[in-house]
Amino acid sequence: MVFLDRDFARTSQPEVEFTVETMRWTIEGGAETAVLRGDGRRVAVGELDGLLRCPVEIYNGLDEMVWWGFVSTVQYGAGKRRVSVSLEEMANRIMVRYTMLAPAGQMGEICQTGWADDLVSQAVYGVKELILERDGLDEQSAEQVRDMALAERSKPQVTVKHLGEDDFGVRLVCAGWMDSLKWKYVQPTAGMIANSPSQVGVQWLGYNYADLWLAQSITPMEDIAIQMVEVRLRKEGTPTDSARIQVQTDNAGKPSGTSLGQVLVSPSIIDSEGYPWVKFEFDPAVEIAQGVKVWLVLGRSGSPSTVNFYLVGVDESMAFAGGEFRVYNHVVTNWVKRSPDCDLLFRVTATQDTGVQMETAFADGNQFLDGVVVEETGVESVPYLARPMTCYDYLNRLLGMGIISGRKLIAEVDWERRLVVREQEEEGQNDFYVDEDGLFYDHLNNRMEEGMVPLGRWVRVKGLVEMPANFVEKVEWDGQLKAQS
Amino acid sequence: MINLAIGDLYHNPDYAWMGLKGSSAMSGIVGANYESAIAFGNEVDEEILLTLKGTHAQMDTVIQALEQKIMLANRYSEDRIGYPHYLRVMADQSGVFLYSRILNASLMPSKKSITYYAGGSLGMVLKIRRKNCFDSDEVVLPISGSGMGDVTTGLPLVNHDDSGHDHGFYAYQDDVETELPAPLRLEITNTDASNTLKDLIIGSFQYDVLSTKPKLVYEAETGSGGTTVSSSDASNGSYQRHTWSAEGWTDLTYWSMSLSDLAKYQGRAVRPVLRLANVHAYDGLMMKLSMVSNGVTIWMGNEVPAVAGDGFVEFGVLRIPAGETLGTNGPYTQDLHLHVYKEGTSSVTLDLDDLILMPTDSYTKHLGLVPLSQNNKLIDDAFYGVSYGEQADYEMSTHIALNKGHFLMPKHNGYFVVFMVNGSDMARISQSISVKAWYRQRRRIL
Repeated sequence: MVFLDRDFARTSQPEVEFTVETMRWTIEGGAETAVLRGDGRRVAVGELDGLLRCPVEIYNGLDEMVWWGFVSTVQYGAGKRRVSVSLEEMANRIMVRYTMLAPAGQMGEICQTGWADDLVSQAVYGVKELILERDGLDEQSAEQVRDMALAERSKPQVTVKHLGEDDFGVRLVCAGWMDSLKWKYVQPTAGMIANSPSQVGVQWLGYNYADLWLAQSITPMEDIAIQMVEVRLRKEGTPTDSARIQVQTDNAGKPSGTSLGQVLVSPSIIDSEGYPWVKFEFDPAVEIAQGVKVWLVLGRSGSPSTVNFYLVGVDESMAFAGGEFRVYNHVVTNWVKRSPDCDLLFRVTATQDTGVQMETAFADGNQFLDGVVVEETGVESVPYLARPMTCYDYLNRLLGMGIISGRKLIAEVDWERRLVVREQEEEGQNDFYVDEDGLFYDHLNNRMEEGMVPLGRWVRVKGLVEMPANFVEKVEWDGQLKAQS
Repeated sequence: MINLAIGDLYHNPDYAWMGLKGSSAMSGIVGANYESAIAFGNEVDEEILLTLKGTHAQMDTVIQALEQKIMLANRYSEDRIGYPHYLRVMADQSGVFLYSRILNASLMPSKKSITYYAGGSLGMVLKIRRKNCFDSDEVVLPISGSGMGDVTTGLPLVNHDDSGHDHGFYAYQDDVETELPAPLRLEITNTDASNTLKDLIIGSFQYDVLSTKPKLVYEAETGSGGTTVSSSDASNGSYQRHTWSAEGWTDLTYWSMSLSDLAKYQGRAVRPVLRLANVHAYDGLMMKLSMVSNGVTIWMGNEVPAVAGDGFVEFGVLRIPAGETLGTNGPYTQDLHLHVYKEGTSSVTLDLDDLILMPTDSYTKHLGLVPLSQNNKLIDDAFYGVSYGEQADYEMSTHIALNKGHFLMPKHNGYFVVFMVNGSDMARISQSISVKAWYRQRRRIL
């Protein structure tokens, strides 16, 4: 095996000779974990801490690289104690999400502190983020919690475990590169453009020709496909015509009249009390390119009526900074500013191909890998998270959706440290084999070399032709190769 | 008469060893009963029954000397401090010492030792765990190239193999007396003033009297397609230029392997290396090899990157002949295909020089930390399991060895191929080294 320095350059090797205890691979990233063991009698506790986060490459007897990742924990056997020094619980960039103190019986507002950074630790190991969640804090207390956590956790964490018998070995617990995507959080927001603070104000819709249409502009930050728009809407009287929303292009700061898609909602499903959220679902979804301003134009399909009309919830506090609100006044045949000015209360839900989302999330959450290779999957989902999630968790959520044909997605960090996402092959297309001695063979019946694994392959058992192929999702090597479907 | 001693090879004059039996037995030791134990693994546990006789001072001196040797042996095993210690045996009158590395040792008293001690004698048991083999002192191994035979002073090699140039050397079985695979020490000296020696791959093909060495180098101009371009900087005086524009994978060229060559490999693994006559500057190029027999692909290798600016491409393991056969009738013809992947439809040109099938009967790859300048050396010593550089006769850590050491199988000739990469990641055909070799006879049965 070979250890590189943290900048991926060749370096002198530790003098301890390590042997491989176990290696594991999974279709959620390829190389997952490896445990290396060396004789630790000559190693002082702390002596190998410099290997933490160093890349490690494991080769088979023919010098083919079979496992690659980085050292995440060093364990020193010191007689009846085992001292572990680990990056797993380390965090050198910390934020606290908390609920504000609130009167009894009321929910406190959800807030978050800014990030606190240990730049020295980050320079050594890379950025490792942590978001702590706490209830019932004020801002100052939350920042105190954050700063204390940073002081405690910004260095590799040391634990001591007492053992029943002597152990003088040194063990390196290594993680695959996919694990490094747990180090940063992502929070995609492209899937939702919304203005949903408390309602402050009401705007009449279709009462007369001075409020024939209402419009709110939005500008997506990524390519999106608008699937649903929700607004807070009620009816007054008994309108028989539908409420209507169009997505219109922009023309010199006003709706152009050119509709990219529209949805009608029957008055029968619109309440006459309160201001519930009413859904307008677009089918097909309306595709909007990144940075292109469009207008959500709300109207009615019939003529104005002072008896039967609609009322729309708005926000006169003007909390929304991403667009403007306009009213079409047919009397002056122009879009005009409302007085007082406001923003529409709305929620736009957009979908995006999961392959595109993976690229975006990877770009936000990666720091050690050398790129991502992923095709569009044909599966659309909403690229939005209400609270941050690690890049690793978010990618796995997307991988779990598979492709449009229903097949799985397989992710492997290849030995060039690129995250390569490919679709599962069909059973019977290129099946691998395993014989009665546990030896694996590729689809052309060539025996696989030591340490090469049939990960993400359909595997048939030689001699049991009636047995269906098993899809290998995990592989473990502990002297022998074991595949799990 | 059996001669038995323990000591280390760095202080190797005979007087530095502690004799346990035979003419050099230490004063006070009157008997040492040693029987080889049977073990199937790489290590064996044994006991040497020692009988001491003499004054208490004489016996104490023996015990102190033994305990000191044991401490030194164990300290090296556990802490890598000092030098490895060995059990040295000469079982006949040949004058040839054999050494077995002591991995762990301890000294125990025999029964009633206090009573005997009081009477001027003492029985002890020396327990040792050692490697399950014995090695001789180092022997110079004459090596040969196509134009020079039995060279012991440094055989010159270059980085390609064609008429008048060797990239490998032979070690013949007649020059090697061993019963188990013999550990080699190779001393590689960079003789090139223009190229530092960064990475070095050494692979051997070892064959007995019933077989011969197969063809290991396939010149690009002997493959299909492309245009031959003469060049004094290319192996065999020319390279093959391939130009294509199709997107995705292209079956660029293939070499037909002769039936006799296929048969000679007997299912062995090789690590193919493709040398480029000129580096390319294309991003995203990938390559893979396949074996085609009777128009059917019977083996497909993994894709590997052809990195822009690198002078060579290393492929994964290929077994020849590919596929599962019995091997009694010889294999059907197989063609070795090179596939290249690129994105886009723009035209790409690659200048291929030669494909070297690096044999793997023994195989080491040395990744350069400090590229060796002219006259600096790389030592690959299988007996000690170390690989290190030498500059002006001082040792330094210059390379990371993925596998340490070459062994020569008994009753086999060995052909050792080298592939050199300079500090610019180029594999220039003119790059040169000289090689010296030594071996140690290895046996298990005394």
